[in-house]
Amino acid sequence: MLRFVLERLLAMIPLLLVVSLLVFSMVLLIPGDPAYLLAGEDASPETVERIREELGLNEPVLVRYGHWLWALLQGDLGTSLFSDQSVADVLLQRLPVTLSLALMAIAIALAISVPAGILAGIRPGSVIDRVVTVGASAGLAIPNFWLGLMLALVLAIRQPWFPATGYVPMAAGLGQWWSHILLPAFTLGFAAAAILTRQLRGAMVDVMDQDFVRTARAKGLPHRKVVVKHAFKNAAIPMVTILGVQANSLLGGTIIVEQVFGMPGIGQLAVASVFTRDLPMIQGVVIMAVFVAVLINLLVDISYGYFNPKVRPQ
Amino acid sequence: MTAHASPSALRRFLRRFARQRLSLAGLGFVAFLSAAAVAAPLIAPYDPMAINLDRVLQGPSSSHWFGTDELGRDVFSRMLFAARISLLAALQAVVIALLIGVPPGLIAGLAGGYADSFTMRATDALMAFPPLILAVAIIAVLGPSLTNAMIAVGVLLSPTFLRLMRATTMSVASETYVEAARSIGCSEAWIITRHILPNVISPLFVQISVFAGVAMLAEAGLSFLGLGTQPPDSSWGAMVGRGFRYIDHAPSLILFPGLAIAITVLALYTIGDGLRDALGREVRTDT
Repeated sequence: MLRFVLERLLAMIPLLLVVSLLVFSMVLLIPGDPAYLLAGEDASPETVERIREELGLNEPVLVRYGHWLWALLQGDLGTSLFSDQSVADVLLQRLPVTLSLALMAIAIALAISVPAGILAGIRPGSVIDRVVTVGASAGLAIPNFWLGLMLALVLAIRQPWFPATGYVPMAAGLGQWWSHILLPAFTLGFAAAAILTRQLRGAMVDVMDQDFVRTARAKGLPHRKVVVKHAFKNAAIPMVTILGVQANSLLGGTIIVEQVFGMPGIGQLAVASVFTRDLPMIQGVVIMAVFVAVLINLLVDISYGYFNPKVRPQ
Repeated sequence: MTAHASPSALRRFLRRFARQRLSLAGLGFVAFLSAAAVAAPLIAPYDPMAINLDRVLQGPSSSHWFGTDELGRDVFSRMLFAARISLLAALQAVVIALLIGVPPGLIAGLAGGYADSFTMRATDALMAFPPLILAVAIIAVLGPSLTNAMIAVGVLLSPTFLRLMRATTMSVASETYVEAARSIGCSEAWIITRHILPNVISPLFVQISVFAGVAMLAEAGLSFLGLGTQPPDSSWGAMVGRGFRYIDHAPSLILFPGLAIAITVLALYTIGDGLRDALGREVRTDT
């Protein structure tokens, strides 16, 4: 198992290098002199020079990339141009918000899609199937910020059952954390739930037609056991693959959901940094997001082995 | 004659699509909406910019169907004009994604070897980014504007087009009729334009309509954040973003633009579903 994880980690190094190169070249892609642009229109020559120095613009490109990458490997993401804080510190401080939002969203997406997909898939054409299919189509089409605003309007503003904005860390009380995270996580996970449900429903319809399911039934296994142990475990394999892709887009979605619910996470920071033109901060956000995405995909890969013995490490 | 068989395969595909009622309804809706957007100056009951401070933040009424905004402007008229921006932006993003994704996909599928593995690694790297984060990063570099946002969305969608083109090109290129054409001495350009392209276009249609929906959602999200459409222009997503501040007093300000986005995206997806079903049977009868 450890070897499997290590091999996966090693395989990610080239990918992360390419990503780091792309993120680094963001500075190069800014049209004009980035130092002037970032300093603002009426900045003093000293400020421009300071920013030039900070971004290392006086050195050759490859040397700059080398320095940047070396610092990055040591966890140094540079300094914010806006607040003079260390980018890594700011990100680490905000990471728990975004992580708990994304993980809760995945949990909610699974909690909706697994029962819905199974119930719809074992009886295609039934009332349940039709309700689930229509619900899934709606889930794909509804913009998440709009869903979030509507939920906040009905469940937080008109009926003050939930707080409309903000975030409370888990350490301050599980109940508080839960009530703050539930609406945003549902908002974020709804589209993923729709995609996973469609996928699982289709796979269940196919699997229920297979010979081994008929055999399991013929030998007198209870319906529940046939559906859960035989059919679902097989239908879940493609779903796990989709889950990896969905985890990635969920992380992106936190940008919007954090804005709707006023959560002080990384997504909110990303948007604010675009308006303040805080490039090192945005680079840090992107690096951090890709890193988390890669880690989540690794977890998904590992869980793959549970469902599909064929890919289990020998 | 393969050269004649291909257009008729495309016609068969379109005829099958025409039999799907739900998808035709989706197509009808998008066509109707596009017509309404084009005719917006003729059919809008009010000037979308006309400020009327006596009638701010009103709910739906017979004189203002969807109510009025914080400056007393008619929301229905504003939505008609915003439809132009939302539809054009989605189209723009899809065209950009096609331009970035299709040619290298075609080349990778035909050439194989290093060209193929290079393009595949490039798409791997692009797909490792959480999509909206990548869009925000690109907008950070180019500056917030609708065109830049749509360039970002186009870049985001392009790897899927690339991979789709690569996969379909590869499978078509190994068909016997391509080998036959090559062995009777057809030029490569002839083979690509007459034998390969007509046969890889139908799967592309499916992806285009689905991605038009995805692009519309992405534009709406980015404009909601203020990173897309900039005032005085307004898209449906930007309208929701402005209405955010008045959610308690005038929920209709976000209700109607949001519904418009959801219905349009749903229509685009149903078109995609219909195209996919038409394609599915096509593939089944041919193989």
